[in-house]
Amino acid sequence: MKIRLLLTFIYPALLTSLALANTTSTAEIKALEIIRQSDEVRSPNKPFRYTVTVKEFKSEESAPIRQQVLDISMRFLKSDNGSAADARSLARFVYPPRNKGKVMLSDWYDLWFYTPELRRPIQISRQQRLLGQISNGDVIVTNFEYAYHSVLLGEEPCGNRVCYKLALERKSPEVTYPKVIYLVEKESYHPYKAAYFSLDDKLIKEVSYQDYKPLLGKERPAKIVVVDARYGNGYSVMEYSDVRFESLPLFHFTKEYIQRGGN
Amino acid sequence: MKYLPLLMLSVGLLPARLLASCPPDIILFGQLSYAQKQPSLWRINEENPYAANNIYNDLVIKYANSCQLIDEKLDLDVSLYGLTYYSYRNIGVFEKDDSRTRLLIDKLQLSYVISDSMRSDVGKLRPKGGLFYLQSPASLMNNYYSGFKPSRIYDAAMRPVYSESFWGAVVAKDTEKNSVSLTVSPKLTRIDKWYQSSGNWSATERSNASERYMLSYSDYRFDNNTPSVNVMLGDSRSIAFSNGYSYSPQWVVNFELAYHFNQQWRHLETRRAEMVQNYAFPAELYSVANDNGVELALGLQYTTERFSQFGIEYYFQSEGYSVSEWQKQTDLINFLNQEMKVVPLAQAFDAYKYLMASEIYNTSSKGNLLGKHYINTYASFLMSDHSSLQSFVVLNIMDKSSLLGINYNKPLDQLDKRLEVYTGAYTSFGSHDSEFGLFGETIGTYLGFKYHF
Repeated sequence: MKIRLLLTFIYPALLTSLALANTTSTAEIKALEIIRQSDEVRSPNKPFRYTVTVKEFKSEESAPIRQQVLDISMRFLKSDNGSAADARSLARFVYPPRNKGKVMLSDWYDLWFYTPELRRPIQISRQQRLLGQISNGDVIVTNFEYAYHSVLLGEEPCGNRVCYKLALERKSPEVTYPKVIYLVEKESYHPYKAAYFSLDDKLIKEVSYQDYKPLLGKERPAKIVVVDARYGNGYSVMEYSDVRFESLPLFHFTKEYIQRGGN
Repeated sequence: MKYLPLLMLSVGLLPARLLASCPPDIILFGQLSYAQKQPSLWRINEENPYAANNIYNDLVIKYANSCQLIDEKLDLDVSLYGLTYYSYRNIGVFEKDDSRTRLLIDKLQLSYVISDSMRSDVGKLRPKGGLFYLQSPASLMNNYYSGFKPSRIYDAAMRPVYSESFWGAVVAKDTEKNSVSLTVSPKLTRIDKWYQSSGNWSATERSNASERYMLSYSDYRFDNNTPSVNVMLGDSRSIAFSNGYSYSPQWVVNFELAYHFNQQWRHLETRRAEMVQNYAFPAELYSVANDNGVELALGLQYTTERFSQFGIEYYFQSEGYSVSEWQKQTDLINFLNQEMKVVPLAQAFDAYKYLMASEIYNTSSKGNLLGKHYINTYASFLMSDHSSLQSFVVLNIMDKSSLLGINYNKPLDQLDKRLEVYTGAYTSFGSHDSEFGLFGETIGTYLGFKYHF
């Protein structure tokens, strides 16, 4: 709660002071490099697939009050040697069993939901993306480099290490969260924490990246804890498993493929 | 059932290790239902050919599995259903099925990745549905109903399964900009038992009794519109256009228009009906004419932020029976119902009634409506406890007969996260000579469960 309050009050002040400074500096270039490196930790530059188990907790209870399992395919590719950048994902609902057949498709900042009962994929509006303790967009990795302008605010201790502190501001209204304060560990570029803010600088969510382990050739977080400011002391844990590279052809990420039962 | 060995062979060829890595999806449906029918125009041996009321037990087991046979190249998708039912009272002669147990191969699909944007599917495939709940003119790959006559599972998930999937192949190229596909469904048999309901035909008769080639194109480059065109060639030729216009993520206007170069379903031939009324006895009463026809559907749909949905649809088909054509059909039924003292004549008339009832039933069982103008309204509410409530009202604008239904589904998470229960009621209203009242006004109710293993 203290962190949340601190961020709520300090974040706007920091942004204001940064706006006053001349920001076309090496700080911005450095910030971009940090974001790039940390994006690469959160998501490799090759198509991959994983299972995410989302558990929702009430703070006083050890057992989750709700659990959901999704099978996620990601094409999260940065522009490289002339190849085009890509940011698509497909989330197939696995558990509870009643949700089988439901699919969420994201294509850059467009998000679609499909269930066999509906005739067509339904576009998820910006408001819908924020519903629930884990929102529709949370289970899918966001490409921070393409989605946000970034500014390096400085360095600060994080756990027993030192982190870069960055202020991120979305490049377009299509990005779900307007502002982010992002902590990235120095040297390793491991994401440590991201605090998401509304346009009026109210804290929405705080995300901690935990349980780093070797995954797809690099140390990556296998657990993400999300604390939603709107849900009191409740929090959610996303656990990643069965992470593997797959070729994942482009047609998997089309509305047509989903409607033809290819999910 | 004759495809069971083929299925067993294909499953048997899979390495055990592979099967172990593909956990199956098994669901058991159980349902108790009650239906009450008012007397109709139809009489067989001067008796009502439908049970006035009856109670049914339905049981369905689903087995589905999806496996990569060759990593990231070749997938196998299997979905099978075993169906059975039991009635507490004797069912009417018009409701009888040859068997009360049935196996449906809903999907037996091999998918091969040709390239980043192309794939090919071969096997028993499910056609892509249209934009409308009542009837989609652009949905040209329709097949016959495969369930039992007097009873079925009313859970929403079972609705598409009851329409037989087809043996065939699809080659599709899907990109973010557009999709183009060619679907081939070869003719493997012909239907000659028009006096029987489609549920009693073989699965191949329900799905592959005509030669069909369909070319489809959808364009996703327009922000708010998704136009599509389907061209059907083969035994029946059609061209269909559709568009979904999104005014906002919530409001969608759907439109579909189809032009057919011949009739889509078998119609009562006036000339043959008159022959029967003149005591001449043709072998068939119904046929498909080479008449051009148009189908049109318009719909407005609203989806809330929590995915509840409300909509209204209008549907028109030029080949629907006019008032006078429909009158000829009911006149013939009345003629055949007259008391016959001569036994062979009475038997011949009864045989015609079986034929007519089956022909009308089979037209509907392929998803067709018999009239010209319809309105459909529907609502689907999704609650925060994951329960859902769906309702619909279909009105035949010309004869004012209607269908109404309501269904409630609730997961019992507190008891078991794998268990859901559902209940609902349906009714058909209309006069004896109306479309939805022709087989007797009906009211039914049901209670069922769905268990995911």
